[in-house]
Amino acid sequence: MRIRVKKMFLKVLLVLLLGAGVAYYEVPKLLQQQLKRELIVFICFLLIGVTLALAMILDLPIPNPTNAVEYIFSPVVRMLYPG
Amino acid sequence: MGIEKGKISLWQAILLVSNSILASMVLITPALLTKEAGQDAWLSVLIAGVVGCIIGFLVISLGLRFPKQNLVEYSIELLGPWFGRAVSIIFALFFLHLNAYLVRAFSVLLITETMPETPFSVFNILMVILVVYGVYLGLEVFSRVNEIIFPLFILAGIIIFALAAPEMDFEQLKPYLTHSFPGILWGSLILASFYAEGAFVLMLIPSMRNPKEAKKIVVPVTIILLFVIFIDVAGLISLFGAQETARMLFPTFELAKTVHLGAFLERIESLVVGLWVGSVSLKIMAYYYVSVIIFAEVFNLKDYRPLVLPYAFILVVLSLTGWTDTNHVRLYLSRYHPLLTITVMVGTTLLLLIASLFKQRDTKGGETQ
Repeated sequence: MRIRVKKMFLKVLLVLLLGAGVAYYEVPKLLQQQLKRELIVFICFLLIGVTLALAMILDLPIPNPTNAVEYIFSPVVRMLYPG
Repeated sequence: MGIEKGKISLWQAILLVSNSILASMVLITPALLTKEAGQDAWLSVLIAGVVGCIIGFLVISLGLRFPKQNLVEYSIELLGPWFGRAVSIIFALFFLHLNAYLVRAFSVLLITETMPETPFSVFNILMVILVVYGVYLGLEVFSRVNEIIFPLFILAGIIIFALAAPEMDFEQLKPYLTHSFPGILWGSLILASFYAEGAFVLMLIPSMRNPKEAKKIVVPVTIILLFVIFIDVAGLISLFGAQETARMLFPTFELAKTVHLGAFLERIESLVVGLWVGSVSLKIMAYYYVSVIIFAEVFNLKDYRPLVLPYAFILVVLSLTGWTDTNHVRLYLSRYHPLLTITVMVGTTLLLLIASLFKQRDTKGGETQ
């Protein structure tokens, strides 16, 4: 139990470090070029990405597009699928 | 004009589209097809070829109406700013989901066939890093790399099939046409949906050196694809028999394993893995690029590059969490994915084509008045 928590903590740290690293890489460039809109979109995407990664590591439920697709198309599949 | 300033030639476009469709087609579809159509799967291939050609012409005719604009630009023009952007985003999200599946399939192949003890996430992350590098470098770069790698891929395929040919028993293809016709049709639907993925070219047409030549893409691509996948499916059925092929996860790979030339040429599948990794990486790069550039265009950004790295996080997470196990993937691929692909790709194309017909009629009416 403790080792599992420790491993998760390590992974969380890794993800946060990676996120910060990506930010360090891109943000100065964007600020320098005064691209405010790009910065906002970048930060949004990065936040979504890091949040998803953290949710995955911490075993929190993530909205799954595959399930959505299966839900939407199951009536069609039931009608059309042979065998 | 769009964000992308690079230009690709007609030949590069043909090879790019061919690789993007073929890279996973040869590996995944034979098993799915033989499961649905049995030994008549080659007929599914032919039907799908015709359907794919029609889809190709539909897509290109849409692209040719707006040769200097990419999909996002004319979506907004035809459907208005909100709806046009929504349609483009659905297009991009579709490719994100598809990429997640591809990264996962790549990991599964490498883990089951070559390095079984490596944890799953390692290959996913490595693949995404590679793809991010390629996308960062830009369209021209990975198109040129593809120009080299894809012909090599085809050459290796031909050699392998030639070497495996002596062991093939064409009697396995009989009895002809005894399988249920709905099964054959569903098989061709699965395959046609791969052709439909080619609609991504709508984002690339303005980046061609001569966009008006885009209609020359359809026939060469269809011929290449048809040739390769037909030989692949017919060869596999002849070699392994329909039922065995349907059971396997990666039948083409198993075929590479059986190839040998005396004691001289063995274990050739390592070469196949190498080339296939290159090929699939380029496919994922192409779709990743299209997705990211759609988002960049939708938000009116000046460059897509800042979005590449954050998008990688999302891709990795999705590839690890999107499916629960291999069986789930197989079920999803054989039933839901073809429907989703056809709906999104062909649906978008038709929607925009019809909208553009309406717009033309409007302007014509205005002019005569």
